[in-house]
Amino acid sequence: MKPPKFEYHAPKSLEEALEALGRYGGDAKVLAGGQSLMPLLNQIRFGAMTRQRTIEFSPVVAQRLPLLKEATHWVGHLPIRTRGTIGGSIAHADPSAEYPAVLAALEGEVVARGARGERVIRAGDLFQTYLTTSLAPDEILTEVRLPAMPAGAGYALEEFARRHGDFAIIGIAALVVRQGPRCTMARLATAGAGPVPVRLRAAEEILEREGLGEAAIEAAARRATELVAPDADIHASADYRRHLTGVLTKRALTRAIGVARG
Amino acid sequence: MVTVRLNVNGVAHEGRCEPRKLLADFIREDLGLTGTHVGCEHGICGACTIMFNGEAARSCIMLAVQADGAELMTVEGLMRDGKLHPLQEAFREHHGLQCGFCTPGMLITALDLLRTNPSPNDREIREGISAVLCRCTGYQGIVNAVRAAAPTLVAGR
Repeated sequence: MKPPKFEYHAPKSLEEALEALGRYGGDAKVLAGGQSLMPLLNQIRFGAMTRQRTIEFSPVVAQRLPLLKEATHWVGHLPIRTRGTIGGSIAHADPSAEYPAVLAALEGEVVARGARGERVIRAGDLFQTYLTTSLAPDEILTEVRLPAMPAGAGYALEEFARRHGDFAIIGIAALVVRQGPRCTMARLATAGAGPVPVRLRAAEEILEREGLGEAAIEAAARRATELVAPDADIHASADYRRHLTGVLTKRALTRAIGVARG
Repeated sequence: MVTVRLNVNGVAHEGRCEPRKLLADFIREDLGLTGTHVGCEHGICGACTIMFNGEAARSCIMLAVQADGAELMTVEGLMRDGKLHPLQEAFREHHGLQCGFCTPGMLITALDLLRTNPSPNDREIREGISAVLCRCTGYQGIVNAVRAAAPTLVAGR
């Protein structure tokens, strides 16, 4: 992704640099080696109240975060997405919801603001258990930040629910970056397979190690079933959810690899 | 009690209600517009769907106080000059309703669908109207009606 437009200044001295910083207030950022700052320029930031409907029809999301767009189609129905927001869905932390799985898969982060100031919480540190996050009672989630997906990345969100629009019994978000038969990055995250979205790191590693062939997909799907500890509820037994985790991991990976370029 | 000012079907309304009052109940009880139906009261059945600032939304999972300043359209707002809306005509023509309970929600949902996707295929129509439950299970007639109305709505733009 290309960085957005900005003004560039190359001050010759510390005094000049400080003077420029003072002039721009909080709108300027110091560029040193840029190895942390540059990737941040590829981040897409959503105000917490951005409605799911806005995300669904956003050309920026379609281009930079197609996984999020696909996930959005699984969130309730259009009249629900008219009111539902990205910040609300993530702060609510229903483990069967799609957006928390996408936040986990893309290693996104959220911004929380409270009376004492602002902090950034990474996806892995946000979800604690059912409907519970690490947001303090006096904090409000103000922003959701997702890194733009690499160009050509394959992606898929596979889900099983009794009826379209219901919460997932199991959902799997998948992202793969390929170089020929090699896989340079794989991401897998679950919805509905436990009290929080689960990153299936050990399954991802199989693909990154063994490539994107059928045997590797099978092995990753098998590993996925071992990585989750779903609970039983009125919708499905734990065994059934574990089984579905494998089936949908395979489907998600197969479809993601099919659309991956590179 | 909180004052709520909003515009419904082009008419300005003002009412006072408890903060806990559902928008659907406010529309029916305070404004007397009983075309909007209340089924499940938890956002699943879609009978209460209205246009909220031009976009379909469930009025049973919104508070009336949240609609302060909003522009709504309910099923009563579809008719113009005593004539049925083309979508309503299509529902009548294609037997898109049996008992009629889900119809207000179906109409508003289908209208939003056709505005965002003016020529949907049958799969997209079915996905779109899956937002509303018809307990008569008369879905085929509804699909036929929406399909038939699509070109009429495009032509009427």
